[in-house]
Amino acid sequence: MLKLVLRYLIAIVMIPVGVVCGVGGIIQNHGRREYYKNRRDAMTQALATGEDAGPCKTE
Amino acid sequence: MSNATAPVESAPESAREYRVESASILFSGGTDSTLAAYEISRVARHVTLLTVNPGFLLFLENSKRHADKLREFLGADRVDHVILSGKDVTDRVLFGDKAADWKKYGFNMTALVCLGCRMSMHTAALIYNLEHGIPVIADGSIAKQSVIPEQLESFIRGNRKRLWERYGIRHYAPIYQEDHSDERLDELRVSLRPKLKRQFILFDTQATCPFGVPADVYARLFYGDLSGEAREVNTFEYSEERYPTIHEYIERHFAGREPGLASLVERVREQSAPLPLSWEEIAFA
Repeated sequence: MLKLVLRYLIAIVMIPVGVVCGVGGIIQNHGRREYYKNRRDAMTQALATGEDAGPCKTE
Repeated sequence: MSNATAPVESAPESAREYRVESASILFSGGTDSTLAAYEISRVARHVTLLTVNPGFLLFLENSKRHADKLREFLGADRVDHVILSGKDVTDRVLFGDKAADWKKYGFNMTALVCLGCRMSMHTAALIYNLEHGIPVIADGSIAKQSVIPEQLESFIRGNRKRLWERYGIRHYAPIYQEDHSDERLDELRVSLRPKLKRQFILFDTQATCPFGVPADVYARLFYGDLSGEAREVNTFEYSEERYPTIHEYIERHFAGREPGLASLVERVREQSAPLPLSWEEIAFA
């Protein structure tokens, strides 16, 4: 019973955390979309050839 | 899903020809890893269920429920359940440079924590496999959950090349195309209750992770199409950044030990080498 209550408590507290972070994530990812598009091309090439995609820099 | 590589199911135990003597599986105790363990047991004589504790999981003992059921179903001599401590490796791989990770990945770290944790678990399991001469590992990754970074096909394929193959171990995702592992377990009569996926809070067969709840919400609702290219790119870059730490950890773990890392890799490589290529079919059928 205690386990069940604890699991519910974790869900009640942490689900809103996920939603708040998600809204922040949408805004953040929208601002970085050009960066992600460029990195995606390098990543695809690296996965296909097994080569290093180069340094993963922060924009 | 295809099970073309499985041995004849109706054959008596002594007449079966298993493709490999032993295999391990990353085992949470949930329906996906339980079904994956069953699938692997059809091609491996002995299966070790590896539950890795990164140090912050609650109710880890829940994983014993399905482990006990598998031992009952397949035979206690064919299944072992081992709970490994993965705290040390998790501290390095996931929590090694928290500030830099949050600066670079920002809110996406909400989902990427699971990737770091999974990579730590892979490292702990890899060490276990090498020490015990187990040439095959599987997990319960499924395509349906590929919004979650560690279950992306690109990550699984990349991780095979960059981690498992380097140390001579073959990695499989035998139920990747399975959408209803709980119903399959019901059919097999391995599950403890019907339709377990719908009872995750009321009756749980795996540990509870406090980080897992927001990570799941984030990944399912915000990290799919809404995130554009971010999920694939973040997953690739985050994992690439971890491999040097992981390799260093493994080398340090075996440093000065006998037999050494090279000998252990050679040993598992010899055992996994005769496996037919058709084994790949159960990876991404």
